[in-house]
Amino acid sequence: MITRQEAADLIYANVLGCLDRGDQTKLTEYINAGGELPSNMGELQNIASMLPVILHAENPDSRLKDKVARKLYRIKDEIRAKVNTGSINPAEVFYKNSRENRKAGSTQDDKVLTTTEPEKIIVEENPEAPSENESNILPGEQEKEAVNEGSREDIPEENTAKDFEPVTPLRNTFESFKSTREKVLEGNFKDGGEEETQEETRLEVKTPTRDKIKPYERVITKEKPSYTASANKTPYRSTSTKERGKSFERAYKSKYMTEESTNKKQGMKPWLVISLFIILLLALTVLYLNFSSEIDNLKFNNDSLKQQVNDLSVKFNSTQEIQNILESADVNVINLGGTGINPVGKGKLIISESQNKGYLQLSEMPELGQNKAYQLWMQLPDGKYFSLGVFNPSGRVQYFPFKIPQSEGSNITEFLVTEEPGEGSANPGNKVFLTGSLQ
Amino acid sequence: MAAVDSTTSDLEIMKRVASYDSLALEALYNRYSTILYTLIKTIVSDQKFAEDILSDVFVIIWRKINHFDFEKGNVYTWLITLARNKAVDTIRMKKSGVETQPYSDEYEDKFILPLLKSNGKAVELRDALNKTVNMQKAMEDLTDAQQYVIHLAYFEGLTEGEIASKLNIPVSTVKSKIRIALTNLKENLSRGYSI
Repeated sequence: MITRQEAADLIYANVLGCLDRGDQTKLTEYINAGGELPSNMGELQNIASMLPVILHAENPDSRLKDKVARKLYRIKDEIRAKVNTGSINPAEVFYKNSRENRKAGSTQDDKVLTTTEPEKIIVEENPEAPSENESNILPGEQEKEAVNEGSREDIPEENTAKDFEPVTPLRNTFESFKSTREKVLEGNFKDGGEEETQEETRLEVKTPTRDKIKPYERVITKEKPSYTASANKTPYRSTSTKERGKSFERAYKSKYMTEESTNKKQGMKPWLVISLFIILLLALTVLYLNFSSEIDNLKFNNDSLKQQVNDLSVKFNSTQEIQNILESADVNVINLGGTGINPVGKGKLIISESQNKGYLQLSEMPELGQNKAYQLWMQLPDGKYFSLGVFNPSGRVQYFPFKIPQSEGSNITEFLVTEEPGEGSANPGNKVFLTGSLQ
Repeated sequence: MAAVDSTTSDLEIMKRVASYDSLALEALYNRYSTILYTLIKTIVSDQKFAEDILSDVFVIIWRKINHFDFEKGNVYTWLITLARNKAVDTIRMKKSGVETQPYSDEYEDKFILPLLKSNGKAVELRDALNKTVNMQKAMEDLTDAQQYVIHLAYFEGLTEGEIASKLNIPVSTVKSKIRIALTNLKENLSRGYSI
């Protein structure tokens, strides 16, 4: 047995309900043995029980009341035994609740408790519905049966099973509180009172295993909750308190609850994590391949466009140059003709002596082998040849620029285009493709 | 028998429940189910679980109404404590994963039914709801640490040892914090009213 001081030490934790079973047992034994308790224990218990009022109120599901009723029905025998052995006589209560009042319509209690729109409920099946042979006469009936067996004829047989009605269907009774606070709650807990209407609904209860038993019926009233789903919660607690609560939770959780969050993470199933990881990996791979292919295509298109731009740029510059040369006053245009090697070959030279440059245009020229190129020559009056450049026609660019030595501009007499090695030659070779001369 | 209406006190309803008046039990359900459900749901954090516990609580009331002290008549505190004990017991069973002690009548009487043995003033639901603002203010006036200890103990159902482990502090410190938190809460409340 603990001492008075030890009991006093346990009181605070007991009030908040955080004693472990061992300490709880010790304290209970102490109290049951008549041990002296601190005078403020009752007050502290009341204070602790006030804590729930600061929570955000939430109504239970409307069907829960039926569930409670079913649970109570299951213990009917136990209650019946208590009633029989106790000093109380609930027969009249049950008789009134289950039979007389219902026969006469709504009771006074019903008038008080009934709320707004009644709602019809049909219970499809009730496995617990008593059968004919079952001892299903409940305390009220039992009492009546004991008192006046002859009055059974007043009670229809089909009503035997329905007499036990631990609770009648839904009715909210918070209308009983008229404080300011409850006016706030009125939307949720309103009991319609005089404004409410009642409607008789029939509740059918079928016994699935006994087809011959006629489903019994009873007349009930049921309210339809007057609150909406969105209004289901009513703040007991002010916003500031709520925020404060969250604040202290955050502060302490961040400080003390790292372990808890770790445990929660550890609680995830490994196969789920692995599956998610694999799915993520596959998704990323598919995305990568798609993007990679798309990027390659875009790169290729980009290169093509760049090439086109370059070609156009070169062509534009050449055209511009040619235009400049053609616009100069001393421009000479020399036609080159094919030789026996390539009779259909043609060429044209556009030369400006003042600018010391010119352009060679080639057409109908055969493709040369590897490491071969065309080389343009000019012949000077002394019979020597001077190379003006090596060219490789690709088929796209038709004009090739070249420069004329400044001192030789007016001495040129003849031009040749020969086939030479790719890097060019110091003197013209034997294969002459085009020839032409200044007029 | 008189009708159950808005003027019927909680104690009168309980007396009628004690005579197995089903309409009185229904009236008690209508009056208390919201606050009891709110409390239970806060503790267990699961709707279906909370509904099961609430229905069990009303079965206990119906079966064990004779354990209620009608002389003291502290209906509100008895019901709240009963619901909290049942909810906390359920989550402790769930946490441990094993039924350390079989749930029996004796167990229920010992650990679930409230042990209100002292001189607390009788409180009814309307009294409690009228003092909501005072309670909020009194809680707000506590330090964050004190609020959190109360939260862990009352709403999360942790024992002193579990709180000590969670906060990584000695059990003796937890005991001290609980005592100071409750004492301060009582003082804060006494500034505005007394229970």
